[in-house]
Amino acid sequence: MSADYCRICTSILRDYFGQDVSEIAKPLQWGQKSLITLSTMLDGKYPRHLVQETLIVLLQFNFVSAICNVHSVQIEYKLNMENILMILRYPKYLSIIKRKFGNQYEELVETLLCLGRASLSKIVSECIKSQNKPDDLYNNYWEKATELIRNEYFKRTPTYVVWTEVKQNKLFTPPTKNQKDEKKMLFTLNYNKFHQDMRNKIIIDAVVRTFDDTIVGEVMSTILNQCADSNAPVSNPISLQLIRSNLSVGHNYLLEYITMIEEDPTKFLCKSYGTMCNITVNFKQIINCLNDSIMDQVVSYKFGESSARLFRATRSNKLLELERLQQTALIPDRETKTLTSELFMNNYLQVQELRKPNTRLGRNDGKSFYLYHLNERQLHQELTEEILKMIGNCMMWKFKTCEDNKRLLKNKARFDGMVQGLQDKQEADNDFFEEAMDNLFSPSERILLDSINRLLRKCQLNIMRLDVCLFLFHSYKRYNETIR
Amino acid sequence: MSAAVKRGHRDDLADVAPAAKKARDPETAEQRVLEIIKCSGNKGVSDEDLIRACPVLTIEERVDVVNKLITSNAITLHKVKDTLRYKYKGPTASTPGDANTEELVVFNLIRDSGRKGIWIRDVRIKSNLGLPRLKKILKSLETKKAIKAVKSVAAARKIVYMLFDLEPDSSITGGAWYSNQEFESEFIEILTKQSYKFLEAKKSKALKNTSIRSPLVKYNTSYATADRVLEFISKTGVSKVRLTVEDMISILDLLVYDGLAAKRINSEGKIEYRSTKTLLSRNAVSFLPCGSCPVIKRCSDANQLNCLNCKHMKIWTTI
Repeated sequence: MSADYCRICTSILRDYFGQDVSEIAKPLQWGQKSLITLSTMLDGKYPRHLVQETLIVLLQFNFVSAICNVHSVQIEYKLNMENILMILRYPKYLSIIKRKFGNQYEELVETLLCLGRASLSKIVSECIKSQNKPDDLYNNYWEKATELIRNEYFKRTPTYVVWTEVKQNKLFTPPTKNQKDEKKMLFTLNYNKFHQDMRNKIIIDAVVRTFDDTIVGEVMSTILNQCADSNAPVSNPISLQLIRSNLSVGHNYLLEYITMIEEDPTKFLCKSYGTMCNITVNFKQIINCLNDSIMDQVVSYKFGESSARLFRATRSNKLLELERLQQTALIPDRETKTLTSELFMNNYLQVQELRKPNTRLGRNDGKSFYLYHLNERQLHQELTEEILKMIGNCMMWKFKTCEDNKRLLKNKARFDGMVQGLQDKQEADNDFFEEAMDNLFSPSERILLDSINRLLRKCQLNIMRLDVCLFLFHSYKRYNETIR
Repeated sequence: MSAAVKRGHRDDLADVAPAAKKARDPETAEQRVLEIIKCSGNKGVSDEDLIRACPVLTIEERVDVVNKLITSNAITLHKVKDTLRYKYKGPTASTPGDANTEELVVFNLIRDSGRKGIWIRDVRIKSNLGLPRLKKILKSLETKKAIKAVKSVAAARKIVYMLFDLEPDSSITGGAWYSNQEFESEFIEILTKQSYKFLEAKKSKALKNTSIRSPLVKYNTSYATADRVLEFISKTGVSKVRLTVEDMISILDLLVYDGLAAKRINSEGKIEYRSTKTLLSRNAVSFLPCGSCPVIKRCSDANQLNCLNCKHMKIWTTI
């Protein structure tokens, strides 16, 4: 794991679980450790029982997993950094559920996110409790929770005791209400399903942007919904009939829409010709296109339009000599040299030297050829690191702002809690709160509070935007590794 | 080329009979021989071939005619596998009348280089003349307007020589994108903009067209071939130079490299272009100052250079 990755994990744990948890989890970033080793390392700083408690909390959220090594007697704990990074996507998960199902479902997901893993009855009762809903809604919420399991947003998970597993066929089976061992059946969030939704949303947006037609987006969305849950580079074949029966608009021209997407240079879909018209989605191709798009945007933003042109020209021609590159991109000779060297110095372009063999006389009189090309794997790795660093910087500023204005924010939180309590009991009206606010905070403090909120929102928004890039890079890596 | 040569030979043999009558006349005989040698192209004609093609000529007459042609520089003599062959020398450019032998050698070298021209170093090596002498000869030929010096676009200092009345090759001038050996990037920019405008207009026209209901037809009509764009560009009169379809294709390819257009090959095998948008709306990296930071790789919490000390981050987070 890179230093930036670890830095973000520490920041996330500090933001959501406090300084102690992040400090205790820090040694685990550099390899799995047993409880004894960990408490020895933290000796003097944290007592053993606190380390134990922290591990239990992290195990509950699956941020740490217990591993029983065959060769060692002790159980070792491993930090799941990928899961910790998922915290950045929690707001996105909630918005997905809210858009797709509604508010009550969102409340359930939120409760589960706060609990880490829990039995269905606990999720429902906690949700009702936290939302201050009447108890007779229990059945209603239960139904909604089982629906989420059936839609594969929740999945069964074993307890964090070593050597327990859930059978594949029972992963998405909801429990019955009066089941005997219902309390032992724990559920957690199925990240894969959420990620599929995120991916589909990005793909649909891309298709709409390419064709300037919202109906194409509808068609694409219907097709994507029929895709089986797998990470294969090409989806399962989907019959035209199935798409037609699930489509709400554009029935008359369905085949034309599909032909359109298929014939476009982006080649998102493939169609088989014959009696049974089947459609497959080229996921790998789509993810590659999207990643190329991010790369181009980054190069264009960092080095300018001309550099982006050179970059794209190199990518589409694979290997290019400088002179040929200049002729292809039609940029003046000297400028081409400056821009390519700039790209080369920042590792965006690579150079392959082709030496002419030495002559018989022993001197190399022919000059070498220098061919420019891209190393996409390396570039992805570097960009991922950069984006992680950017997210880390945003989190750092968020933390610093909160630390600098700790007292003010604490007061505000206390005040907000009070307001919430009074509002729930309906004991006071808005004028009363306004007056209380005026008395407790000076005008300058109120302005400061507003701007702090604005800054925190700005940081959070940018973290989420950068996380989309991270998500696409991760998908790219996965698709290109499965092939290899 | 070889087909042309073959045809030429066949024609010669068919025309032997009517030509035989005229061939006695010394002038027509000369023309006839020249014609035969010309038709042979690069291969050249041996003495036996000449006898076969012009049986009416006696040996003396033939020697006379060939000698005349050699002295007038219309043909040259080559030795190929122990046989002598006559070769046509191409349109004989008017050699400067008062040229001496050295000048003639240099002139011939330059003439042979054709439209691509010849570099002074190559002339020196091939002619075996000293540089000061060669420079003098070149200057005198230039003043006689027999040859001209042309700057090459490949290297600023490289000057090539070619015959005065020849148009330089596109590899020397750089094609339509160069004027006076200067790269016309502004001209290219204007052309790219106009082409994009055309593609964009074509796309929006196709999308807005309510008379067509089929989305596929709409989509297909939003594509344009390079010919159509060239037609539009010629109509606007943006370009004073006559552009070819290849030039237009390279301009449209620029749009593809800029991410403004997509290209595909249609059912007829022609390349078509369509204006398009990027797949993702806005670059997430561009919202932060770190996105364009040149020293981001060295930015670290343990370093003096970190995000809390960063001037740009401070401005970005000013509250």
